[in-house]
Amino acid sequence: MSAISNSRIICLLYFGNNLANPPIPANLTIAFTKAFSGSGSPSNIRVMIANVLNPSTVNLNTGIKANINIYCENQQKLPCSTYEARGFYVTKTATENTITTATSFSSSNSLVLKTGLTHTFTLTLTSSITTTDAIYIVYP
Amino acid sequence: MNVIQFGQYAINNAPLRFSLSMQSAYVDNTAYTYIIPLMQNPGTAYVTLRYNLSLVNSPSGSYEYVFNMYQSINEYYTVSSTSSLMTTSITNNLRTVQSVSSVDLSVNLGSYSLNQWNAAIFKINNALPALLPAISSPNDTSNYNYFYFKNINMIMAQKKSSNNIATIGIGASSSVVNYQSTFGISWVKIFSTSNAPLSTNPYTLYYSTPPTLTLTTLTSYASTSLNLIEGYSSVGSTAFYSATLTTPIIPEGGEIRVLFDNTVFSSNSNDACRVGAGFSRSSNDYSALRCYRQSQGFRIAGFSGISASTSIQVYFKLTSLTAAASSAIQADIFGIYLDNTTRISLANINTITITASSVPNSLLKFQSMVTPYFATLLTNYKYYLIEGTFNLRVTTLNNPDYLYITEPGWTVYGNRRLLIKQNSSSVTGWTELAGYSNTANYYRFQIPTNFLIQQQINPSTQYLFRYTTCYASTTSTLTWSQYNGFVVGGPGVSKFWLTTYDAGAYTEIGYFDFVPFPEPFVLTVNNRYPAAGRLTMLDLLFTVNVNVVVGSQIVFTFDTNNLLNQMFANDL
Repeated sequence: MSAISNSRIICLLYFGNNLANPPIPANLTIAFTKAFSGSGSPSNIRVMIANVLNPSTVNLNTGIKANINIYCENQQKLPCSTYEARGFYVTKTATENTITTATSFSSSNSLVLKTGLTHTFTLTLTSSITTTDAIYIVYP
Repeated sequence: MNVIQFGQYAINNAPLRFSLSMQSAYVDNTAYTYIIPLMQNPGTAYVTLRYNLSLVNSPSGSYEYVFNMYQSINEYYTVSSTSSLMTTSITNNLRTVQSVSSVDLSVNLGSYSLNQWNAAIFKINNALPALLPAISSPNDTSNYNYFYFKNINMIMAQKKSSNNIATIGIGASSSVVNYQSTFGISWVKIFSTSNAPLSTNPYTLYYSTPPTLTLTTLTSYASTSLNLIEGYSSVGSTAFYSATLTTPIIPEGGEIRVLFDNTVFSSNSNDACRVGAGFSRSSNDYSALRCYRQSQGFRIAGFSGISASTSIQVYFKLTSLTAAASSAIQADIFGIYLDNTTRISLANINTITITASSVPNSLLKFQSMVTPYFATLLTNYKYYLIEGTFNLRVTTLNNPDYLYITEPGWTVYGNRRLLIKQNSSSVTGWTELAGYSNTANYYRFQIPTNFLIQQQINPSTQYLFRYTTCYASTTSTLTWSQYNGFVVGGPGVSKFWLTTYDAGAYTEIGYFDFVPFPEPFVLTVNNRYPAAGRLTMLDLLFTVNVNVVVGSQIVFTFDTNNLLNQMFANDL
């Protein structure tokens, strides 16, 4: 359930090819499966993409272009790029504190189809985290 | 109702018991036959067999009781197997996918013919999904008595004639899955038996496993057409086509490929094609209706199931690479996306003949327009200057030749202007072509005598052109009608044609798509963990102040030209 879909968000990812000439950019397309009403009361659309690997080069600017493509032509159903924005993000040197105290994980049940369980993962931080920081839990 | 109790004889001598209940009334002095298939003899020779047959009456409201019983003790005994392997096959003429009661089947015994009253049993392999597990009616009743065990899909055919015949007809069945799949008979066994009570145990003469067969695919479509919408089919030209075909059944999760010969064509549809009539998005949460480029055509997936005789439509652009006569455009349809073993059909939609580029009426290459944003002077209107490029193939234009522009009647404020400049760093000035005349959205511009230093437009040279307007007078207070430019009502595709007129004849033409620049908005990018080489989460935020219809898209393009693969090394 989201601003653009009543169920799952549908995404198509094209990896692109940086060896092609010219390089083919990576491309993530997200479909509107429900109408979005923004003319009367403008509202935010927020997309979070997890598990993206930062470039390994420090201080590298990575550009992102966002387009909203609205179907505009009935015969071919062409999506026309109607709105466009550009942004970028920068990589920085990793300044990570290593957790020195052993972490622990306690599973209340390891059956595959068991639901409604509470597992406990314990870690001891070596520095503080604030309200704007995040903890990532990755299920590989 | 049949109930089978699988007794473990080793445990208290528990027997195997078959119970038939809720039967119709039995009539005295009438013979009844019970056939119990697929019973396995003990594995040791000279073991006697024993069975009981009991008739039990279960009157309503009272206790049931046995009122008749027969007990056979040591009537039969096992012997060592003397059966041998034989070669059999399935004879079949029609086994096309999506056929109803027309998959004809018979078992071919080679040169072997059953003796009268011997029997063959064979079981249709229920693990192979192609056939409907039902035989409508056996088709050789003059030679065989048939017994069909419909739940296990097994047939027993007892030879009743003494004819020398080496096949056993089964009858017709229907294909179940809608795409190419296999079917077959698990095994064939031939028994020495009789139509009368025997003093010896019936025994197996031959056994065999015939090879499986595969449903064949459809090789034609009920109706097809390939329409040239724009452009010409000549070498170097890009043309815009629509393909229409009447489909067989395509299940949800299937796939349609539009194929072309990639030595004759390349795609110029920006790696995409478009679907038209007949498609709707699958309701599957994981599906998106899509049409995209593959090495030899386009692939369409993510659509809802398509019923038989549905007319579907696909749009695409192809650039012709070489001259060719009747190069086929095909539709290759599969039941399961990306599974080449599940083909439903492969057949031509139509053919395209590509003429050589040296013919007199050869054409311009298809060009995509560059559309710089010109002005936004009023809230509801936008004014556009249109800029593009073209190369002439063989035509040389000089005064008094013409360039024609055919456009679909945009609202224009001011007079139309066409400016041309050779795309070269050594040529800096633009030349305006003289005036225009209009006939039904058909505008004519003449090549001037002092044009571009060289006095002419040469073939195989790229030229830039700007199509715009000019309002001659100026006043201190401008009104709408005094601004310059084409007014395009909103986002969408517009088209126009550029045609050359040389020495009294139209010689070359180019088709142009024109899409206005998008409106800018603000994208906030927050890399939640910016450490180089580490996994992160990108937090992308923007505000939308317009209504967006279903089917529209948000597209994020990571257009930095390095490290793209590394950015998406992980599956999202």
